[in-house]
Amino acid sequence: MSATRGRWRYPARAAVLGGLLLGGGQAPVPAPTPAPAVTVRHLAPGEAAGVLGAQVVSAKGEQLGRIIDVLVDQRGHPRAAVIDFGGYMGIGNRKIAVDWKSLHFAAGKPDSPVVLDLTADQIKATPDYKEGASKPAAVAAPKPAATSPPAPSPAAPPPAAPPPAAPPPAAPPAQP
Amino acid sequence: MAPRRPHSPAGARSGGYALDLINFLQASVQSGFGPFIVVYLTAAHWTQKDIGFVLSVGTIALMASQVPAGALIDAMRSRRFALALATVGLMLGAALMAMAPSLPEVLLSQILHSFATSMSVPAIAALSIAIVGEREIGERMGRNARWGSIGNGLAAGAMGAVGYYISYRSVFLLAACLSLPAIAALALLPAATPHQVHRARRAESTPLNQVLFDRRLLAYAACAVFFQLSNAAMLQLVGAEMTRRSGTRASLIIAAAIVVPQVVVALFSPLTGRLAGVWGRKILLVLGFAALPLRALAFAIVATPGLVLVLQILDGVAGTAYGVLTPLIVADLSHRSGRFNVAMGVVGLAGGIGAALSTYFAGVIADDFGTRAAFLGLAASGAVATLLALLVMPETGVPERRLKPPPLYPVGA
Repeated sequence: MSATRGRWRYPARAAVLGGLLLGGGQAPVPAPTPAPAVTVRHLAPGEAAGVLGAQVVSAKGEQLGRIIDVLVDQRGHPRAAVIDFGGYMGIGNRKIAVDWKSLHFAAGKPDSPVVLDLTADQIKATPDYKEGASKPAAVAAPKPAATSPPAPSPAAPPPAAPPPAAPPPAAPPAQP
Repeated sequence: MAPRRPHSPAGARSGGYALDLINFLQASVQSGFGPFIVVYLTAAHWTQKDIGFVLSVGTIALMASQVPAGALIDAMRSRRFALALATVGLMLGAALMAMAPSLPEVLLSQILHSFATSMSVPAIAALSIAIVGEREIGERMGRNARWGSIGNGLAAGAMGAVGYYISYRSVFLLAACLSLPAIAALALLPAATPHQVHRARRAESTPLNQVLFDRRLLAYAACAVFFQLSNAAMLQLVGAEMTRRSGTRASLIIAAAIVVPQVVVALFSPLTGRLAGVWGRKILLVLGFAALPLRALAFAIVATPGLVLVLQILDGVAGTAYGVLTPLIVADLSHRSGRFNVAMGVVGLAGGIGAALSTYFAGVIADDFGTRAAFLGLAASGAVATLLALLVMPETGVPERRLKPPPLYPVGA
């Protein structure tokens, strides 16, 4: 009894609902406001590509892992990539962040691996990247980081980038 | 089928090839899931959040379906049909996964796979009991574990190669194809229990709550929780530590660390099953479980690659004990009650909860206090599991000479 009454306590709302259900076809659709015209630009095939899941190799061609995330700063510029690194059959793999500038993308070639300036030995000791951690994220970068801006977080020492840094291949990476 | 079977290893051997084959094939189909899903979805541009989401759905479905799946098999007349149904589920799950790496297919695949696994694990054990009878059950469970381990290892190796050289999609296609012989092999087993026998047995089965709240079953479920709490995260933790030390070269060590325990399980499971019939279950359970805290402690102190491989033998020891004795103990407790599968579901659920907690807590402790602390935590949990097995868990096995001769009614599968 009370349940039935309760259901119809808001006849107005029910009417509106009914109107929507019955007259849905004729309901005045709000005219599309003339939105700022969208300009459609076309990226040429191979001009840009997704990086999630892209394979990462070292300059020597060792398989390092796959890019699983990209860290961007407040202006939207990419700062670091998170790589799922090492392991075998899902065991022993670790998430490691590497400096965006140490990655080299072979534009125009789909499925071509991304080349990292660091070797497996150089990034192996980098602390794990932890998502949403309040602590500064450790980002591995090649040693001569003269071009990179000062670290944003004061507490983050440029971690575990080992002293004998590999000569960063500045040229676009040769395809193995 | 055959009421009079000689009680001898030869007797188990002559009737058991079909079960060997079924265990081998089931394990190979199973290895098509697991680690390959993450790589497959990552390569298909999935975010880690989405991958984590579908994996959690799979885990939750697996836990939620353990006990109901057991009850379902108990109610079914044919364990053979139950296993066939589960294998079809595995096949569809693998095929769906191969079809498209998109959310609906992957979610459905995960749920199907979880339900099918919840059915296939107890169904294999129940089939084995129905076929070899009570007297040879120890040896039989040992052989099940052996062939499961061999199937797992070989298929994982083959699928890894297929994934690397061809594509990860073909891994799932291969798993789907392997389920066809897995279903076909069931034809080698005897037919289902006749209707009247099944109905009569159902009528006299023990009330469900009497089985579920059996103190001994709950004690073993507690053992299972702490066993998995200690065991599940250990290899992952060791592997990450290896990667930290040796970079990508660690992959080889990790691969070996996965293989070593499987070899141990394959070598020693039948012996363990046989010994369980002579010495009883408890002593083997305690010895096997004691390998856990030992291994975790050793990892906390030293973890050089060579030593890791040696210590992984202990993983095999613990794995052998758990793999062989779990269906044996559950059979001891519930075989005559007609509720074997639901009891297996209870233990499976307990182990699943322990494993999920293990990964979570090991991660948290390793993050906040370091890997060593995490190993110590795992060691503590392994010690609790061992103490539970020693102090709380009673001996469930019946000494062999007191066993009645095998049943005279026709045993169905």
